[in-house]
Amino acid sequence: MIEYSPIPLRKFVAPEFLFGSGAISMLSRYIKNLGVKKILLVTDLGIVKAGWVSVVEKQIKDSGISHVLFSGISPNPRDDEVMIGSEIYQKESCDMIVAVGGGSPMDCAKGIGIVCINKKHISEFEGVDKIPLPGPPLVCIPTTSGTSADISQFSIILDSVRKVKMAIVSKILVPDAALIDPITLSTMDAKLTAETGMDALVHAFEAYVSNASSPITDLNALRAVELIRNNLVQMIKSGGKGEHADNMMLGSLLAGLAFSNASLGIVHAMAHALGGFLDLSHGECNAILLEHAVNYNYESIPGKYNDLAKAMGIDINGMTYTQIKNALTESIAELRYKSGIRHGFSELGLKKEEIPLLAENALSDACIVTNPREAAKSDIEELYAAAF
Amino acid sequence: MPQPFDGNTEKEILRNKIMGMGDASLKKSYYTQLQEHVINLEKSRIETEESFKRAEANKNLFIALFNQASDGIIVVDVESGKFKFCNKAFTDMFDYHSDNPLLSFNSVLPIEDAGNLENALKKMASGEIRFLNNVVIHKNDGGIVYADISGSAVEIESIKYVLAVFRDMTGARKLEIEKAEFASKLNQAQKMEAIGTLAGGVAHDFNNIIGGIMGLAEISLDETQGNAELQDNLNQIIKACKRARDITTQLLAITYKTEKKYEPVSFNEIIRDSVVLLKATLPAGVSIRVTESAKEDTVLADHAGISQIIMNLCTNSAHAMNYSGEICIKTRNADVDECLIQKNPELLPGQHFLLEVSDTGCGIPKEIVDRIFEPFFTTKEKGKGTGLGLSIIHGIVKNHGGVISVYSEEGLGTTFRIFFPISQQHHKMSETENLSETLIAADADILLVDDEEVLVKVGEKILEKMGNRVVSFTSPLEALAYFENNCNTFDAVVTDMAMPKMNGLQLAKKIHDIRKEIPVILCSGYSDELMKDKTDMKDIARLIMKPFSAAEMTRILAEVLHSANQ
Repeated sequence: MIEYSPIPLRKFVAPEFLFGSGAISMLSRYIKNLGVKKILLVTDLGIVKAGWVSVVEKQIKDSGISHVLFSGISPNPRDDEVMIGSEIYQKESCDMIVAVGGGSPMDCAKGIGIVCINKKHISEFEGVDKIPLPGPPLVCIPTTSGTSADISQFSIILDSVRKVKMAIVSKILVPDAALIDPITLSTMDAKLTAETGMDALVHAFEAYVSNASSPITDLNALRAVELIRNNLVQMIKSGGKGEHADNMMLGSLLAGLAFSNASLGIVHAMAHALGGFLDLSHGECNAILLEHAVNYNYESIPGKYNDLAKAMGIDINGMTYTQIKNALTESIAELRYKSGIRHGFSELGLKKEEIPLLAENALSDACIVTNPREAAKSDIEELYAAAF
Repeated sequence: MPQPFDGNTEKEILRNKIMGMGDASLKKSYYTQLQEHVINLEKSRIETEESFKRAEANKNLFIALFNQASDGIIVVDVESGKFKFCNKAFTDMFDYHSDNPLLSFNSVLPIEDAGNLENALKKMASGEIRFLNNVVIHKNDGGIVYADISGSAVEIESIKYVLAVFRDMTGARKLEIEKAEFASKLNQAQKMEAIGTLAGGVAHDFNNIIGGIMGLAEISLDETQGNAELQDNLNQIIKACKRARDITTQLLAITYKTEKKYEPVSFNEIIRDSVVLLKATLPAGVSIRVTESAKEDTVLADHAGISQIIMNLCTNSAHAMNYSGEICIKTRNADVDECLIQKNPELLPGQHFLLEVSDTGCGIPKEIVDRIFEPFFTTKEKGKGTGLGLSIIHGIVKNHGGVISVYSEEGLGTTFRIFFPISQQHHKMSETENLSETLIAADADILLVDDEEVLVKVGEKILEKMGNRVVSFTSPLEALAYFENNCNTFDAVVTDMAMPKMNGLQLAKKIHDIRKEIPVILCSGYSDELMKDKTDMKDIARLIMKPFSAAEMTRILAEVLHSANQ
């Protein structure tokens, strides 16, 4: 007899989003409906170069309003960049922010919004629910199929002094609208496609096994895993266009909906520590760590991992837990390898003696809280070492 | 730096928050900010409303103060000269009571004055001057405003204005002018008084001298019968003496101290009588129109004096019109009030008879109008006027408690206006005294006293000629001593008034102390003492003014003796 357990109480927050071909051209409608006068357009030079900024600028122009371009953003957005952006916003008397790009410009735009309204340094919002007042209207246009910052409650900003990525978590950070158009993926190179795609896979995995997951996030997470497993490598091969790209964009969106509400786990906690310390690619760190984290977590929540194994296309019938665990980690490693991410942390510049500090930072990260298995510092150190 | 989680409870709380189950978890919403804005808006609306109310109250207070101020206040645009504000006192000051708003000084004042004021205010705006004293401003209706003006620059809504305060000094200025006029009149009155006193003193001495000359000439006339040439000379002397006596009589009239008998008379009646006489004497070219509006015309007056006033004024008028034109005589009653008294301090309050004599003659030049009442002041050719006419009128009027004033415009004519106090007594119909010629003859013993030896001599001769016996003295004390021993031998005493050691009145009293019923005749030229205390006159049977003729003395003595014997 199966024991009855009531459905745990959960919240699900998502922004209004337009998904599909032509979503990017709907920006002018949002500008008009919000009745704003001047826009701060936040992006990075790569996106400018790719041509998506001019597409957006044309729409702003067509709406009959002015804008200021702020494109001085690093791949891992820094606290000082947020403060500069906020100054520009106030100096130029802007009343709306549009972010175009990957996770970096979108996280930075979220930071600028809350700083200019609350008039505090960005570091004061680190943690969960530390933002008193919401920022100005924010519309995000993602150009990668991975970060899902366009729909998430997270903003990850590098503390340039401490060299730590600060996780700012609040439902207030969820943007007002996301215009998700797969066409924007066509300008990604293979490396970026691989890193962001693997990032999306980690989002789905961690959300699904999170101790804050819910049936609704589970639905999104599992479907996301299937879509990513089936389309990532093909998308890389097809140059970011067509059906695979569309599916990857959808997979990323579903993974985003899942992790934004169920949160993440040990992979992100460790990746944040690493990324802040070595300024490494977030997606790449996640990709290297995932198989080791699954191996570490599996025992604590095998049922959920078995679901994920199925979603990864593994026929688990007749398999023992250990067999399933091994098959799952292997399938992850295979996907990573096929995507082109084939090295460990040592090759990225990590030194063994740096691991204890990283472990400590990872333990302080908000993402560690929802990991299914409570980790000790030594566990984390071992995980870094395994991925060395 | 974030700290590692400190136990499961804290971790659980954090997990809940991440899930969105924390107390402060809220999807992006502007409601709180909006609410705050709404509250602030409401607060600022209330504040604004209160500010408006305060501003309105302040405005009302300002307007009340502005318009209640007795000084004229005005705010003028320095550049354009246009008015921004002006208060009620200002519009009142310049009689501007139009519905149209004031535009500039040009809309209130004649161009020249408006320009002067604008320039003055510009100087005040620049700080060149702060205050202007006693500025004369002509109004469009011809009136004049005297004002003290102070002003300084003010800035209202970034525009430069000058704020000026006009203090109306017209009333004060008029008062000053009236004071000066009053002082001038007082001065004139004092001058007249001094001249009168002087003239009176001279007249007294003249009378004594003329009395001696005339008396002796009359006596000599009797004694030189048959010598026609000598008699003719004596008659000329007597005639000259009479003319001289007339002049001294007139001089005494100026001093208002002649002994006149005042009785209630009808002023209108005297005017009518005088006009009949005037019409007979003035050339045909002069007509006289009388308008009698005065119902009350009884005044306590000397009939001859009043007649003299009318005769003199009309004669002057005829002369001023070169004996061609109309003289208007108007009478009416006037109630003298405080206002009139302020202008003519000699007047007393109450009903007055007002006489106006106007002509259309050459008028009196302004520069001499103040001097016309001075004795011997004349504009007539030498020999044609004594210069006493108007000063005599002035004296008569004054003596009657009245006031005379003149209004004249050169080339247009002159009006004299005289106020006389109305008397409550009724005037008597004129009585004629018929003195019997038989009374003139006398046979009496007379005691004659005069300190002037020549007059004693003249007196003796006159009285003795009448058939009287005369005992005379030049010293009243000696006369009294004689009378004490021989009191029953006299029928009457004739004494001079002004004598050293004992005057006529004192002597009369002493005589009556000795013998009560004996009549005393007092001869006087002019005497202050006589006027001062009229009660002393009880010892006097009759008064005879010096110099007297033999006929006068004869008649009076006869009357006195006749009365004493009855």
